[in-house]
Amino acid sequence: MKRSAVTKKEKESLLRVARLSLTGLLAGLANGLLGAGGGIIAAFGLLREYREDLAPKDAYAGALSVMLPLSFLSFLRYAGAGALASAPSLGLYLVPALLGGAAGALLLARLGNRALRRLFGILVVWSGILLIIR
Amino acid sequence: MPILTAVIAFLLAALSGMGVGGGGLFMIYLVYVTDLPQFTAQGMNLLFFLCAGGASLPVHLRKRSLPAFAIAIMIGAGVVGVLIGTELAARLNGALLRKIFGAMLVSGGILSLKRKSASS
Repeated sequence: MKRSAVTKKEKESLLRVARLSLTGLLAGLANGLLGAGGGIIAAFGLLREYREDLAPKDAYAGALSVMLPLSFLSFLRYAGAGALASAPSLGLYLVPALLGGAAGALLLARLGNRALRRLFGILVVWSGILLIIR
Repeated sequence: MPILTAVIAFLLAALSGMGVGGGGLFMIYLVYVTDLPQFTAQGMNLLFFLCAGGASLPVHLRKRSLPAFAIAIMIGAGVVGVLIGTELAARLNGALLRKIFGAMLVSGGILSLKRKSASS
């Protein structure tokens, strides 16, 4: 009887799909549960998976591409549950958000990866500590 | 105060636009400075990110080389995660959500600081 064999390459591909799926699931879970944080998970997942083949800036941009549609879905569910019923004036935040987002993307090309990661890491740890102790 | 709010929103949006984060920090600002309930802050944060990230995406698509296959897989699986997460968020206490979020930020920040740079 002929044995069908999964080649080593096919097995690696399947494992890669499984790992990416798990990363996506966790990123979506964080995004839905907390309204943020999925991007960190997505970026780490991409960097770990592609290591030498993907520049950190490409991984960050890739994470953004993953989180935008997921955030849109999360937002629809939050809005449907009444999360924005007591929200203050949104224009004060959203117009600068549009301008800042575009500026950030243009700045990314000029900043070093190490500087970005350190800045982000310090800000995030400090913020997390504040939230826990509050 | 409105000018300060706009400036802070711009700076945090720039971080989001870079793809390295910023949304979590915006939520800190909403909870601490404006004293919004956690659930509302999370909803506003999502909208904030949609604006900041959405504005930056055309630039990234032009300048960056993105792993399309990986992105598609992660989005597909992520939808399931979002559905579970949003369901839980509507049921959990705000203080507990805040502490879970804080723990996640600390872990993510430490990992980010520890990770060796592949290139700079």
